[in-house]
Amino acid sequence: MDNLWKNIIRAAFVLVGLCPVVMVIYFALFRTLTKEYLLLVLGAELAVLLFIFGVIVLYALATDQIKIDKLISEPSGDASISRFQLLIFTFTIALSFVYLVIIGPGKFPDVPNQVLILLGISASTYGVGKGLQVAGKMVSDSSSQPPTGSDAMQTKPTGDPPTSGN
Amino acid sequence: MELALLIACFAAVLAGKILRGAAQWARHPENRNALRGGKSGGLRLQMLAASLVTALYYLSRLPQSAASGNLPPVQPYALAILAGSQAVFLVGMARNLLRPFVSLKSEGEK
Repeated sequence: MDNLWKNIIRAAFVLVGLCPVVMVIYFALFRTLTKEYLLLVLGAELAVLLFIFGVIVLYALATDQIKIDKLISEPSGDASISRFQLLIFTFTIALSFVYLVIIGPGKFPDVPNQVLILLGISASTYGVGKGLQVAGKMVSDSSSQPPTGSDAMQTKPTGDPPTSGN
Repeated sequence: MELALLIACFAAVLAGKILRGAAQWARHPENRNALRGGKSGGLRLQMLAASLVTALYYLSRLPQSAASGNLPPVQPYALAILAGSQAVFLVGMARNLLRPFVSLKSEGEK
């Protein structure tokens, strides 16, 4: 089944690659090749290519070749609220963008600065949270070693490891 | 039409996968009180609430700006609330991280 899909995808790529060559030859022989025609063909080619890429990713997702079950969890399996909020805002803005492209007047939507700030806040929280988690793990690991210096008492934790999922 | 169909398929597959992962996670007994219990339950809950409210508020403004074809701007107070909520979460997380070390250091000084 996988080989069948791979062959279909290869055939689609070959067809997409051959299409502009055929178009250029056709226009060169029978019509005048203008810039508008060429741009039209290239635009259609790009759209088809993107669609094929989308279908490939969709197929890989559906068949678990790309695993996203733990998209919003830590490697340890804990839930990650910082990943979740980043996912929420990314999807919100991305879907809004697609919605405006489909429903709107057909132009590329402008992105206000506040939206960029919103995504920046969200991504920064994820980054800082991840940094804190890694730092906590490093401190926890180093403090579990046998004490070697005079400050060993000050860095040894007592309770649970402080690196719970953020 | 094809684009909408592709995006709808993506949404369905993503939702299914995430929900499947979430269900597996929720079945684990240790995760039952993830938002309520623990050292940072309240911090997580307030950030989750602020994120969801901000996202829903943004989506609710989307139809009004569809005619102009631009993404709706986020109000400054909404940004401030969100930034405050996330800062509280990060400060709380750092505090929980440092608490065992600080308390032990103060005990050592006594």
